[in-house]
Amino acid sequence: MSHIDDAKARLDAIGRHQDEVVEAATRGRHRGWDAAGAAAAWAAIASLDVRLSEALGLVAVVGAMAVALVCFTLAGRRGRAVVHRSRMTGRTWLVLGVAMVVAAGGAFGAVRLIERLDVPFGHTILGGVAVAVMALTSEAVNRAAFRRRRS
Amino acid sequence: MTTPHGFDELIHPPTRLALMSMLAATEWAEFVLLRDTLKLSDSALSKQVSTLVDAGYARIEKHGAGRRRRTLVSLTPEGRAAFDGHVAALQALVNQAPLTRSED
Repeated sequence: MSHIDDAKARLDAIGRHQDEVVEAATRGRHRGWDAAGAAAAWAAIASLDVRLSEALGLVAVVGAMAVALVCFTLAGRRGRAVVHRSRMTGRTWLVLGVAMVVAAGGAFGAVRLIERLDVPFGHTILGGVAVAVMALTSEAVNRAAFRRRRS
Repeated sequence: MTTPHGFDELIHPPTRLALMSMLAATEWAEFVLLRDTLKLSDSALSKQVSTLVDAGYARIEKHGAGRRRRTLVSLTPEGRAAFDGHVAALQALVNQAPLTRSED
């Protein structure tokens, strides 16, 4: 094998190993904190079913969402590895940004629909569905966000 | 034969390069995660990590106690610079870039 072929093989191996460890870091998030975050996110949406004043309702939603965010951050920090900031490319932010916009838009649309249909405990059901969808898609979104395309 | 500037013989062996690649993509990684991903034994990985620590390329931190004890491995700034230099050297070899110097 020539030096150039060897260098190409090593560069391919570097990319492959970096993708492997990023995937392992995504899978290796702290399950306890992730579960706590999911519960807080569910509580935030479910709190819309509770009859509260507008201000108190807003505090409940924002507060529970803030708790969820802290829990999800801790799940990453207490995981088995933390992805280095050098992996946060424009593509990473684009994928994460699009995922956030889609999630927020979907949640907003679903909340409006539930309020129009007046389903009993509709927000609680919606929160459960949202958390389930998030759990099912988060790994794939993270993988798409952090994976480097190799030529 | 010319060696591109930044080529690092310490990093180049496949197992060590794999380990450095993983550490470069992370702020830190658990020893267990590295061991499982690289499919190495504890002692084999320990040896590779020690070589990097001795060279000043990596550092080890131990947290917790008992069953919660975690060993975290991370690259030092010198290790990260050496890895980046080595990748650039490999890239230069592939591109056959003129940024080469004669081997001593």
